Amino acid sequence: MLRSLVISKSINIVNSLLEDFIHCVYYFVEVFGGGTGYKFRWGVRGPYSDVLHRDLVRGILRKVKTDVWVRVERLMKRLGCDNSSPQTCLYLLSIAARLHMIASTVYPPVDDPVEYIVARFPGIKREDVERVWRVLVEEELV
Amino acid sequence: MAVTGRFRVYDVLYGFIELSKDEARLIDTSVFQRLRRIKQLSLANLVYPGAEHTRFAHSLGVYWLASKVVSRLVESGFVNEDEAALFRIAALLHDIGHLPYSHAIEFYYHSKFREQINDGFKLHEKLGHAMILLCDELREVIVSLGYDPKEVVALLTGTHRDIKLTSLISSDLDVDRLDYLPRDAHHTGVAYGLIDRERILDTLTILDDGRVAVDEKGVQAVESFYVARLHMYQAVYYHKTISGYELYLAKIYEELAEYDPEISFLASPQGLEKAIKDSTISLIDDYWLYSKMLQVLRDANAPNRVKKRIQNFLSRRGPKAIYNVSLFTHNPRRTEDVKQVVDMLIDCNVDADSILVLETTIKFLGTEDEIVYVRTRTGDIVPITEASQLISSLPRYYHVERVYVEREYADKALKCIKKSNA
Repeated sequence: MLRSLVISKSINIVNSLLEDFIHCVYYFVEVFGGGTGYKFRWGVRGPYSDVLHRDLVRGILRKVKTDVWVRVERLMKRLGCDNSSPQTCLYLLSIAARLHMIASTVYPPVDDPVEYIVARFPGIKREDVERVWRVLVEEELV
Repeated sequence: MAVTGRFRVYDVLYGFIELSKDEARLIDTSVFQRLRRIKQLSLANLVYPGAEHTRFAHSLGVYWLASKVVSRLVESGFVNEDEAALFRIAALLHDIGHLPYSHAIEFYYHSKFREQINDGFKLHEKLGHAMILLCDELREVIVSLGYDPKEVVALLTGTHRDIKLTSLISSDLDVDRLDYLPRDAHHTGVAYGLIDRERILDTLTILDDGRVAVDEKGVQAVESFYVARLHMYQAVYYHKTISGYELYLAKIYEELAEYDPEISFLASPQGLEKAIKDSTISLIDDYWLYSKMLQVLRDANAPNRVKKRIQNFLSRRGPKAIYNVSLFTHNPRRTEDVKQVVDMLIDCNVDADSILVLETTIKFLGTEDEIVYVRTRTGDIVPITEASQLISSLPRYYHVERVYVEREYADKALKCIKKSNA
């Protein structure tokens, strides 16, 4: 389902929530060695790739290996996407992507990614950040 | 010019730009001085003779604007003095990686090394990051000022942990654009790139979550900024003749790389990295490439084909655009038209080596991360597209699709297209 959604040529960029979702998905695609070459910057709404946006606009997305999709889907399942609304799934996935990027890429390093997110993004609940962090630790992603 | 611990330089747009003596040491590095010898607008002087200004002047201008913006943010408590200084350094160095003739030579690297340069950064950005991290001369000055070169690069790549500073670098309304639009307009003489800079600087702010915003009274100034961008892209940055010469120079560079050992070495990302590490990059400028072309002309053994191209280039007998689509649109556009034109020309026996292609899409309005927000009088925060009817109706994209051929094939190519349209 995830693959068909992301690969679909019918993606409408006007839907910014959907675009946020795709940036988060592709962020983890790269984390899992997807080899797309997309580089992400630390955006206001989470990891953001200018080239991915450009490719979405053109309707051409770079190929991803099947086993990488499986790993992204597994992570989403662990986050609770299977039993939640699309909005909640995006919310959880965006927390995961932000936490991972803070723990791995942003500079200077952040001592406590959970506290960092909670302090800077008032709309995000502490218990959700802590739960997502535990998932990332258990999955050995941070 | 030094004035009691400060360094002052007179700028055509802003008057005196002041730097601390420490910051001026960055300017004194040989890699920064190199920017004096790289034209800001590459070959635009072939159409606009006044466009002789340099990356050096632009970099100082961006530094000045960054200083203005952050000093207001320091006053209002959004950033501290250290963050402000870091932002100023990043602004000063943001274009340090430009190659001779600015974007022209990048065409060569981006087409030849597509796989290696495909992550969204332009080559000059990647080279700039490498210079800050690897060039001893520059790195040592940054460290001696008390800053971490990695942190400067993190700001320029949008991976700095402080999202406020990152937003100021990567939003639609960034200090780079605020400088180059009026500067390029001034030097070309076109009457399009003018913006109400003081109003924008006076109303610019950062929201708690890091988004860039202006107060409501700055909306008109932001409108003029967006409109200026549209006009400048059409009239200057993607001017048909200028783009043709840029592609032509990239073609000449490609041929020189097969002939000249020094260019051959530099004509790969790895060669450039080595030149950065040993600081020989500081001599790679517009004059360097120009002198290489003159050397070829004097060399009796140089291939005739490249000699002819260089003569054409120096005599302003560049390629002719025989297919040109320049469109502002609200939606993305994908066509196979350019490929079809090229195939048609080859079928008509136009030498494939004489065909040059430009296909690009420029995004004018950023995504929600990049777009400017407006803080209304009632305290609401709305995207500029909601606050301004004018901006909401502006086109989102500018598409350029062009096919050029060298002059000797222009008549044949035009007849070929005419015949196929009949």
